[in-house]
Amino acid sequence: MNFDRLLSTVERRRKTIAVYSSDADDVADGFEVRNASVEHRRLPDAGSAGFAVVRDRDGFAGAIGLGELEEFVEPPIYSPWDEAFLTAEYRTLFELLDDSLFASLDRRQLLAATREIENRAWRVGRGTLQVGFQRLSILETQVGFYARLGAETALDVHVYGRDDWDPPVIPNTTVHAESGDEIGSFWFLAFDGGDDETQACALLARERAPGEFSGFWTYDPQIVDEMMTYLRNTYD
Amino acid sequence: MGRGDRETSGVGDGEIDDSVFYALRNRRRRFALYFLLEHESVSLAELADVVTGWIRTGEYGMATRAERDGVYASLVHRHVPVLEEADLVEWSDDRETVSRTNWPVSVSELVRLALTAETGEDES
Repeated sequence: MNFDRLLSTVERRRKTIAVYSSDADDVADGFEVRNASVEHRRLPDAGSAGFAVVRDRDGFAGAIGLGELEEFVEPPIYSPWDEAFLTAEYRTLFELLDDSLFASLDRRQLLAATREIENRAWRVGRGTLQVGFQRLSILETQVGFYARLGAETALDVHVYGRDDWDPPVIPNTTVHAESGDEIGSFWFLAFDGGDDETQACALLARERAPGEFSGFWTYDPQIVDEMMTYLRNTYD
Repeated sequence: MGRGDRETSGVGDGEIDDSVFYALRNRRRRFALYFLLEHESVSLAELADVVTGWIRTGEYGMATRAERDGVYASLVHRHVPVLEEADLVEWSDDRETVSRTNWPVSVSELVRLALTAETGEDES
């Protein structure tokens, strides 16, 4: 189960997204989901913003206002220990749209999803967190974050990246300097939830073109476990 | 309860049965009727999705599966029978589809008025 195969596993979990609004143009631009079909259903004109219904194989999975959906396209970025996280509205979207394979994610959207996972690990405070930076030099701007995460929690943190920078020693953090293509082309995070499986989460995205990613995040403990086991077995 | 004691009132050029006003006093029933303004018939499953999602739109947060299942049950057991009693909808024999009856203009206008008052943010 390498990263490519994980992406295709998730691709097979199809969802449908129906946008209900009075204007067909509301099928949001940039909201391109590869394993979900997006359809539009008309609402009578009245000036209300409309909403989206996400359905999976069990039917209704959730509904959310179009205003919130738009917020997702340009999400706010918080630091991992920001209290605003606990109430951040777009967080509901992460839950609604997990296991959706997004054909087009930019760095900002990935960073928002990354912060959601880091925040979860920070709050739980124990367990294993694996983070792929593509290149270790990207870690340079994040050393402050990770030093605090390592020092103030009981997390066992593993950081992966191409070997282009020598990071300082960070408490409770193991650095895996790699030379393979896979580590260089995927942005990923996986957190096992400590001893609480319901807190498990992961993000996996491939950089298809510079700054352009396709990938997914998930709260499915089985997918998280497959990813973490693969990483442990392949890059330790 | 029975059809014999119905009263009617005039709005514009038509007459509206009291049972229509009664139908409109519940929010879930109103949103079901709003959707039927645009769609002649709808599956009960979708109607439950729509009523759940639409009512939630104004409020922040996500409508959950449990919430939607509650709406579905209330449509089956309570609201669709009330709409049927008011002659606003017909229920298919398998009870899976709800269709709009031939609404008089006065009823359509009333429903549209309620829609604008309840969901409209601006005049359009």
